[in-house]
Amino acid sequence: MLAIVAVLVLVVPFLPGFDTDTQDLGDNLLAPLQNPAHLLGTDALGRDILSRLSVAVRVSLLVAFGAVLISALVGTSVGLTAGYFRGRIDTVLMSIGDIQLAIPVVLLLIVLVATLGSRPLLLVVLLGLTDWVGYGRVVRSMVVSLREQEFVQAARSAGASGFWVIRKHLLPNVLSQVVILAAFEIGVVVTIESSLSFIGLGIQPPTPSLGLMINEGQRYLQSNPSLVFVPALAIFLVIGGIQFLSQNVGVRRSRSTT
Amino acid sequence: MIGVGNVVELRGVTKKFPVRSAPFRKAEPFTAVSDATFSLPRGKTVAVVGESGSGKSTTARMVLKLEDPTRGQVVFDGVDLATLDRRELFEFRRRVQPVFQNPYGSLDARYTVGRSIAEPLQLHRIGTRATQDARVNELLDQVALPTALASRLPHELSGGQRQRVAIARALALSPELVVLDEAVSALDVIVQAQILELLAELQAELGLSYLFISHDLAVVRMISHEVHVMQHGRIVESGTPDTIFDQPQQEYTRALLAAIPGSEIAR
Amino acid sequence: MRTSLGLNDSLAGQYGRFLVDAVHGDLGNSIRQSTSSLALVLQRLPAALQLAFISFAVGFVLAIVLAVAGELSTRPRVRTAMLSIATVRQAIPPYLFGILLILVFSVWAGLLPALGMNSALSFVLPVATVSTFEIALYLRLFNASFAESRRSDYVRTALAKGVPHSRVVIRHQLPNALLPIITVAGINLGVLVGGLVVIEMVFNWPGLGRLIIEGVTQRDYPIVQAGVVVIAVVFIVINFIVDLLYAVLDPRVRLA
Ligand SMILES: Nc1ncnc2c1ncn2[C@@H]1O[C@H](COP(=O)(O)OP(=O)(O)O)[C@@H](O)[C@H]1O
Ligand SMILES: [Mg+2]
Repeated sequence: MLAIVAVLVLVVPFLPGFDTDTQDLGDNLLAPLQNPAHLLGTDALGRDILSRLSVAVRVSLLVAFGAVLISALVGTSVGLTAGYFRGRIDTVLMSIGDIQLAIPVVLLLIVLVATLGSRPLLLVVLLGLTDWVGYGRVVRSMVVSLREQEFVQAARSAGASGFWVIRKHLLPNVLSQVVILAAFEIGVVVTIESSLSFIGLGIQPPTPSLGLMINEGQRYLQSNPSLVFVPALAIFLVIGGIQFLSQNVGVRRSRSTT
Repeated sequence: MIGVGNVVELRGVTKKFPVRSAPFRKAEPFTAVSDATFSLPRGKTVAVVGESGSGKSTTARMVLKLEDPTRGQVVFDGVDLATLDRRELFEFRRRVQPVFQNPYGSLDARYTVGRSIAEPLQLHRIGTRATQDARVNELLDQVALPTALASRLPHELSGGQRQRVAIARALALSPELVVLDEAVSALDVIVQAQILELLAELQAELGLSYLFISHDLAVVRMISHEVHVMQHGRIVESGTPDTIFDQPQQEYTRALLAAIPGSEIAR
Repeated sequence: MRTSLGLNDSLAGQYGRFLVDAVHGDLGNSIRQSTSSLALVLQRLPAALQLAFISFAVGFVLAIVLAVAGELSTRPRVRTAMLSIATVRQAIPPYLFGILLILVFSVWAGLLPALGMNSALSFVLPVATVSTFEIALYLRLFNASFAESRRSDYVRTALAKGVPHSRVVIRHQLPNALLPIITVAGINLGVLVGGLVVIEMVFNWPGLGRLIIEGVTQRDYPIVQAGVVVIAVVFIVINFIVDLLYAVLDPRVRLA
């Protein structure tokens, strides 16, 4: 599944006739496989769907990778801090996490985007900052048990500071779990981003995005279902492929460590 | 005054832990160690024995300053640990080192043996990479392990080998006091005897003092000069291993003696 | 206009007045419709709650039925297949699944209404969209719990004593699984009420989420504020009910 996605993102931009923006109102709403110049057809404005799809998937992935990087960074730092130092800072950080989990992410993002805007970079940051709690909880629970282990006690007895213990012992020991979680979360973030774009609050036109393509195609559901089908399939391939990958990574990890 | 020849003195040391309880009910703190007083003469081995949960590890952790007493003082080399500032605490950490029970948890699974042993040297910025490597080899030699083991990971080692590595690591900073919390309890009897022998050799060679924590009186008898029996956080009986063995005063101590495998047959 | 909206005050002043008014149940007037925004929001609340509760109930019950059936099945393939389907379902974003359902059942088959909330039939597609997602979620949780209790001593003992398998699953494994999952479900249900925003857009559902998005796109912020406050209150109420439920179900928890 990811192979198709890779071809779409990496190869398609170099095909002849790659063009996301040129409108051709004489050749609009073309079905797939009708015209060799537009393999997947054209949209209502006559733009080439294959080209737009390629860019849309690339944008989705870039946004998701950026956001996951931020959330993994924030969540891991929070989890390490809360789990190692415990006490009041732990209570405060985890309460913030609990509250955030109780707010529907999409709703939260809608309100944030409405007040702050939806420039791409801002969108990445907002997506990242609303998705850290999972990492925070997982890392914290691992750290709570790791810090009682004797190699941590031994390091402290040898004069290691909290910072040393966190950087040299705790972080390396939680990292593989964070990577597994991050792989899974890419799919989650792609879903959220495409939902936002679908209601017009995510990636802004003219940049192509999967959510917006589906929204625009919805109007032609009867006459040109491929306008929805094609981006839908792309979303499924991206999210399903990532899920599949992260599950396999998880299984292989747990096998190799036992 | 207790003699100047003491590495460590505990003076009325008490440790209470807050207990989490149901809301609206008053939390009564749990007393893990209660009014413990004893001293450890330099170059000697003092043992603390007692059943599981009697407060031995908590005592050890207070001597290591991983935990602070609720009341009383832990005095190291004449100085109350509670008064140490950051720099002095760091210096204290060079002079006192632990060896723990669990040979599987005592080493970071991601660190090679050499890196684990060298970590205290790095923490204290002692020597260069090359001199540290040399020191690691020397330490491995001291605990009778082949230097080739330096590049191995903990999971490639046996329990006894791991415990030797933990000892080598504890010796890296040339400490004066080593706190051994159930350091041989997880090992089988033959390996136990080998490690105890190694500890005795190292003591003679390096003039180390040991605080030796164990639930096993048989082991304690082999290594210690002085024994304190702990029950419910209190020291209930003290003496030389021979007096404890031959004239136990407390029912509890007799029960501990009876728990030694083969003790019935011997009687 | 600016004065009547209090826009000339400092931001802190505006926020302070919002808090004072909110405590008195006054969340301001809608800018567009110059009626109380709280009234507008409450008008939409039933539709939102109905969709959320029905979808949740359908999903939760079906998840239990499927999980129990899978546990009782003698072929482990059945469980694997169900979990794979759950994975596939979870790889399709809910709004997209909704559109695909509309395509198949409304546009092609002409069987079911796609938009609005006009009759009982209007519920079918949105509920199917949301509840399938819920099924996937809870099926996973129940399965994981069963997989653990399957190997536990009490299950083995009961089976060895000749207690019928179905009885062991329903009387022992299921109640044990229910307690922790209900806690998760309580939070999820609260999140669901506000989280259906996008689904409401797809099905043109007259719910809260859509009202909030309209508020956002039309910059009618009193509506957005009122919507968020109401959703927060709903969330708190649901969690309170779940806590009560928990006390009733769990013999170890007794209310003081
Ligand atoms: N951090 C802690 N918080 C609460 N109770 C503790 C803590 N550490 C130890 N205890 C309790 O103190 C008692 C003594 O524990 P410990 O010193 O580990 O005993 P031992 O090493 O003799 O088995 C035990 O009942 C234990 O549950
Ligand atoms: Mg202990």
